[in-house]
Amino acid sequence: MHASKPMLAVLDDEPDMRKALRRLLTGRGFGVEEYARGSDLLGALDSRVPDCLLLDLHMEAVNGFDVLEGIRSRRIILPVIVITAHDEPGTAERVRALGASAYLRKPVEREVLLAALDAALAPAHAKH
Amino acid sequence: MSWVTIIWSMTASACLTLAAIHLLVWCQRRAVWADLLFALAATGTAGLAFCELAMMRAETPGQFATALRWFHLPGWVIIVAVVAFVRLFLEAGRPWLAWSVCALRTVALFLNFTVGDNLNFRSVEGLRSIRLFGESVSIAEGVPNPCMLVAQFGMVLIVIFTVDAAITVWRRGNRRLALTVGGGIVFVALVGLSQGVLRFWGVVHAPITASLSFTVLVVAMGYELSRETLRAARLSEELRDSEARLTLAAEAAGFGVWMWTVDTNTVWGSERWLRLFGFAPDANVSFEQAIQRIHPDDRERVKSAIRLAMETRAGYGVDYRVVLPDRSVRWIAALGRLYAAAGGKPARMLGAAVDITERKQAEQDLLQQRNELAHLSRVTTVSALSGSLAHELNQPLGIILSNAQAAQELLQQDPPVLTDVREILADIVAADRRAAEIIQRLRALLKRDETSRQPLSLNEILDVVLRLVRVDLIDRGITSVCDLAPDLPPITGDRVQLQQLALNLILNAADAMAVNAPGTRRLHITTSRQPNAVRATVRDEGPGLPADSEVLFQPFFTTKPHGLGMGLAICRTIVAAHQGRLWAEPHPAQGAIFHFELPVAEEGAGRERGARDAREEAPAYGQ
Repeated sequence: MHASKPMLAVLDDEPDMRKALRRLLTGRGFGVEEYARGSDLLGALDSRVPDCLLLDLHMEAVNGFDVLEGIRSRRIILPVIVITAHDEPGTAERVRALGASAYLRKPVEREVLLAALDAALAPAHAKH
Repeated sequence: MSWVTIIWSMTASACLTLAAIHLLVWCQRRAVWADLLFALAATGTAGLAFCELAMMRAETPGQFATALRWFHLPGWVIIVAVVAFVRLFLEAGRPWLAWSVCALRTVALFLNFTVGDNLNFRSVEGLRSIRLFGESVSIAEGVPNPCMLVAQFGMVLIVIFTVDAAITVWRRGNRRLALTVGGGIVFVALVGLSQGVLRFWGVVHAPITASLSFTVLVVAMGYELSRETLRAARLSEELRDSEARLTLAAEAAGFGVWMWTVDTNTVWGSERWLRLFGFAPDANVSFEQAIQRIHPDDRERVKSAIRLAMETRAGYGVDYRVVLPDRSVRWIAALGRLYAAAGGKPARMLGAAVDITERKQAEQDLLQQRNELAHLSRVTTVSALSGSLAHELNQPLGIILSNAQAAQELLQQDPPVLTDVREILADIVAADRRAAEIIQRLRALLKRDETSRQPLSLNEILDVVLRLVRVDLIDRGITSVCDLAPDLPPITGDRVQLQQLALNLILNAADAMAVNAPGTRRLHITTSRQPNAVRATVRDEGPGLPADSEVLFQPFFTTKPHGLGMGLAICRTIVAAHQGRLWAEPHPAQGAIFHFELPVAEEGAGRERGARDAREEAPAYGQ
């Protein structure tokens, strides 16, 4: 996989969800940063961009769509995997149009998540 | 025959005649003691007259002394009877004064027979002749007996006792009675007292003529007693007439009439009443037999309503079921009223009963229809929420799956890393419980259930509903602003119905703000304490209300393209079934405000009001 430890950002307003993902992913050799609010993440991106973002869609104030648009408007290169518990018709198309590299539904299987991460972190996605 | 003999004999026979009449009356109605007391007083007065005649006709001091000694026996009878008459017939006078008067007269009577010749004289030493009504009569001369002072003090007490009692009667408004009986007693006592005092100190020499003044009292007492007897007879006749009219009217109106006589514990029922309760048309029914016909579930309620009516002397109204001998059940609405006897004791209860089985059946049908419609509306509402409810379930499922898979990996390592597994399992349990709770809340909301009443917290109901719609509101870009008053008193109601009410109002408010620009969709939910009620207010910042906000609550009124138009109509019926109110008003700045108020739960409320609640639970739609 990667020589250095890949750094993942997890944005979800549910602490237990963040904790569960951190446990799963640190066991697989990823570094994990947790964010509870979209505004926090967007602020952090100014100083450091992680290797991949795991993004929840349904959050108060700044939601997942706002974050995707924020990333796109700032022209930040960051692969985004959307993980949502609220699958509605049209949502998948909408997030892909906003530049997400994967759209996963909760509860998400480990293998599905790891495959999506592999794909997102593959050199083909990297622009530099 | 001489005048003296004529006057005294006539006085005695008049008194004896009156006594005999009232003794007969008393035999007819033993409960009225006043008649017996009057008969005793009148007989006593006749006794006085005979003794006085004997004294006036006495030829030796011995004869005079004997007659005067026996004179005090009827005197004692009269005093005791009069005091008791005041206590029982006038229902006045202080008991301790009454007892003191009787005790003093009894002591005086004892001294009369033990000390000296009699109460008046230690010894009668000679007779003197004086003129009365033109003829000569005897009066005594001798050594006065100081024991007489006891009797005279007794007379002073009886004046005080009677004046006090008469004032009480006067204040009650019965002035004539106070004047005739009270005034009569005081007159006789004062005449007797002054004669006695003057004779004792030797100021005057006159024969004893107490029987004449006592006759005045007897006439006054007899007059009042006869008036009362006549009045009672007239009343009872009028009552019989009015009962006959009442029965006739009640039967014509389909009512059964009944009367429970408390003393004899018998229940008289009109033919229709007997039929309603499944008794034979000529049955003799006891109170217990009638009560036994009442449905066991309703029996205690009816008994306590009757008890309450007996204690408070008020009327009562209850709905209950009777079980007929063929096991069929009939609903009865009954009204009753207690009638007290003269002494204030409950004497009988009169009431009417009517068969309301058909009405109850219609009410039950209406209630069932309403419940079904409300259920349908809940199902529709919840299915509209299904997307956000799926989110609410997928969230904990996602937490469970990721945690479980993380734990699997920890256990697969060699050696297994157990330190984190315990924490992971705890998180899995918590997430699982959260999912179960959501499913349980949904089940409750979707259940087709009988309504049930229990004490509830309005804040908790709003809280549960807000958690159910949380994600839906987030998706619609709505921020909810809650201001729930702490320490609200509980209300009594049906949990599911009230959740449905809150859910409908919140989703309505959310729908109303769909046209708003993002960032201006705020939902305000507040609760507050009102006099005897709690109020919830749901405010949106949408376009507002139609000019006549009442049309919103009419069935099939809708502003939404796919709305049924039943939501707010159902809300109205739910609130009405809880004896509350629901109304809407425009917010002065922007949007609409819906308020509903529910009465605070009464302490100990429940069984007593059960039947009435059941009836009020089924108002027609669109009221």
